[in-house]
Amino acid sequence: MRNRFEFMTNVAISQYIPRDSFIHHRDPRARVILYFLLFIGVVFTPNFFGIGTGLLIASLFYFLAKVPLKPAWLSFRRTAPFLLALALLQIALGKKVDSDVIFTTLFGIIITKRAIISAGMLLGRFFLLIILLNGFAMTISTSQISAALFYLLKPLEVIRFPVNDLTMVVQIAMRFLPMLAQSAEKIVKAQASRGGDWDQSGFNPVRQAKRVLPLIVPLIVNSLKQAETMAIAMESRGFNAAEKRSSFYELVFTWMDGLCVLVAISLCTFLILFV
Amino acid sequence: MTPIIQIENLHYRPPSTSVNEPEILCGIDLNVESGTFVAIVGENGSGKTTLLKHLNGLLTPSEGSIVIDGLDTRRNEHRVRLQSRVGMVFQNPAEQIVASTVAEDVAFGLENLNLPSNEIQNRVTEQLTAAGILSEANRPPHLLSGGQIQRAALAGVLARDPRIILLDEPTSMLDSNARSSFLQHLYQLKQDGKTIIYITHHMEETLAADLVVIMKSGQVVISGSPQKVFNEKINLYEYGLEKPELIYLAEGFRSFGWQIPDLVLGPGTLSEAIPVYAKHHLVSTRYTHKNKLENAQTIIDVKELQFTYLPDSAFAKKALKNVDLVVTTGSIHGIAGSNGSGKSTLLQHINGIFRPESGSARVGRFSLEDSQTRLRDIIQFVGLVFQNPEDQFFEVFVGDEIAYGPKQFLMDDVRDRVRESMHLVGLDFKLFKDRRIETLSGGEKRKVALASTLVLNQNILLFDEPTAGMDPKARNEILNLFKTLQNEGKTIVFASHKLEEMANIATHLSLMHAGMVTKTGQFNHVVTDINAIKNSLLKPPLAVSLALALIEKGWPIDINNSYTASRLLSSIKDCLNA
Repeated sequence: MRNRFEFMTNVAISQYIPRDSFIHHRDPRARVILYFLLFIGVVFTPNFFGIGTGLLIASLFYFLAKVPLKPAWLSFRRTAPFLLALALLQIALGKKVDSDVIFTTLFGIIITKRAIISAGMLLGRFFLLIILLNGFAMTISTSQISAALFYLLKPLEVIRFPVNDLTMVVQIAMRFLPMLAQSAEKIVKAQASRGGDWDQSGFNPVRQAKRVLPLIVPLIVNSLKQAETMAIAMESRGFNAAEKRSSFYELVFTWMDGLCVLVAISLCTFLILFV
Repeated sequence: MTPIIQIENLHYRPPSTSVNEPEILCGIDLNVESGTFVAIVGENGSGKTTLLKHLNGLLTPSEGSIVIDGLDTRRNEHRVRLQSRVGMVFQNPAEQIVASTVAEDVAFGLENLNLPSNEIQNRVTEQLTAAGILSEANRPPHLLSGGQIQRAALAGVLARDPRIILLDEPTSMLDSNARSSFLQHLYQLKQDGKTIIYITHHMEETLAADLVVIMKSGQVVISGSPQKVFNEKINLYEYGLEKPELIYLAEGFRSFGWQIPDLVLGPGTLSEAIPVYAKHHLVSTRYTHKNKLENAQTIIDVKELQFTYLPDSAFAKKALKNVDLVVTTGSIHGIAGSNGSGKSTLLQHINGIFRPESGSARVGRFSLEDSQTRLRDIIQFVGLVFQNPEDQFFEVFVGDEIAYGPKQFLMDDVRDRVRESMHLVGLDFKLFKDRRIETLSGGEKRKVALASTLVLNQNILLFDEPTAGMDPKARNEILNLFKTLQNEGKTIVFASHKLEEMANIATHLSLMHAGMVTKTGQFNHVVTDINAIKNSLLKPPLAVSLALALIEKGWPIDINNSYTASRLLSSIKDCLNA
């Protein structure tokens, strides 16, 4: 029986798994650039061949990173109803032009071949993005992200962009997600064990919305309290956004990292322009 | 030598409150020498945490002054130096963890010092090794056990090498073993010359302190060495406190004319002082008291229950492995076990929040493994008060929070039910129903949480660590409430890692370890089985250890009837009078 009160399973970010793998050994900056380029490639690739190639790249990535595929599949399964709804809308309401080949007509709705292809593309693209996002979450820790971002955005300091603040905000936001999930889980359990309507499973958007609404206020209040405690804790451990900070990670950009970035650039270009 | 902490006439009122409201701290004077271990005790809401926050400059006095190691906390330019000299571990350590792995979090404070990466890495390894959690270095903090997260938080503070360490009830969620090893760690730090300021509700933890400070209503009412504070004829209950059990027993032993030194630090001193039994060894005629519940009906029957958290993920954790549990109607059944032994998970199965992955659980007439059994039906029969229920309030006013349950079930006597349940926990209906929850003290909040479950008037009530973080007075009130509920015919199951606390009220006990029930039975039989308790990584109650020492010296003590301090003293008295 699936446990509907375990919210942690729904949080992809902060699921970092430290492994001794080729991907984990890359410099965090190289990893951030790599993910960024792969995301861009997948978002803009124009056809099924591009999606297929993307899947191959993602499989290779998972293989190199030695991380499991199952969490990605579970994330996809959870979002599948929404994606399917989107795909159906795309089929029913997508723009139609005279030159379209009509596939069939269902309940008076003209379904064109082009609409089916674009719905398929939508599903494929999201599937791939979810796989990549999970791969991303499992292979880079939040501190590594903030260390990498700090270096990558450093040039912006010239125009007085608050790089230090921004990277800290990113790190804290990511630390907060699992805390938020835990907090939500606690409140939902407390409501459910006092008769709150969390009994029914299945897909019923109105009912689900009704359940979620009473959660929002206590969750915000709790988050504010936690944020305050964390801010105090950070301050008492000497954090000051105006001061210079160093990093736990010694960032060393090797030729292999450079090579990975080059490969990522080529793959991204290939996915967008040559498929 | 100048004291490292000098507090003079400290007054504090939050800047936003009006002058008519009482101050949170009113006129505190306290000097602490370097290298001292100070224990601060006092009832919930007496101002302990507020005082602590003044010591590292998080709060500044409204009146008076605090000088820490020569730095006046009111002066802004001292801020940075103050933070590097004073480290603080908060009440809920999970909330002070900033990074996504343990190692990165310990590094956080060092990154702020702008140290080079290799030095940070060395210091992190050093701290994690000292704290005994090096193997957890790359784990996400939210997946650590309570004890581990507490150590991680302390390591993060120690990495910055502060001279003064402030700790706000750091052991309230730890089991007895984790607690004593954490305390050992602190004593080691004191040996290394650190000054330690330590807030606690566990009175026995104050015995090894150099200075005990008792607070009430924002004032220091008594301060001095543990011997002075606990040996004076002071009514500690007036301050929401009680004597440590060790001192209580030492006084009892003295009254028998046994030679007990003034300074009693551990049970060893007492067991050594026990004389060899001199009288003719009578076979104990004391009957093993019959349990009136022996023939009672089974109300909870759990068989081979298994459960895994985050299944199918890289962090999957088997929390329950073949749990068997039988609870009889009308009993107070304690479930004891170390942190992470599966107590909470088991309780959440009994009220249907979690459903068995395999195995079976029958509660009253409900089969929980049957997916057709509705949660809403189960919870009208079984109520559960979670750990730290104060974190789970979702209404603004006390009355609304308590009325939530009855409203969900469209009950028509909501007001009466709320009134009754508030009366049961000792909250005045008129006085409290319209109070905002956030204005309540810790003890009052806990009572609201209890009332909001009791309001549904279920047959079975489950409590998860109901007394954690409560001062001794509030703790006793909660335990007395359990007695009242039992007398009303309810069945009570409560999880805790404090056997001493259970000893006063529980009729049955189950020990849990690593996701399994390792021993179960009548309370007096289980609690006196030292091996079973040690195998569950718990500490036997002090009275049981001393009863064993007495038996070893020939005393005809019935251990099954001597598992609390008062029972032990009366057993000894019976032997002396025999």
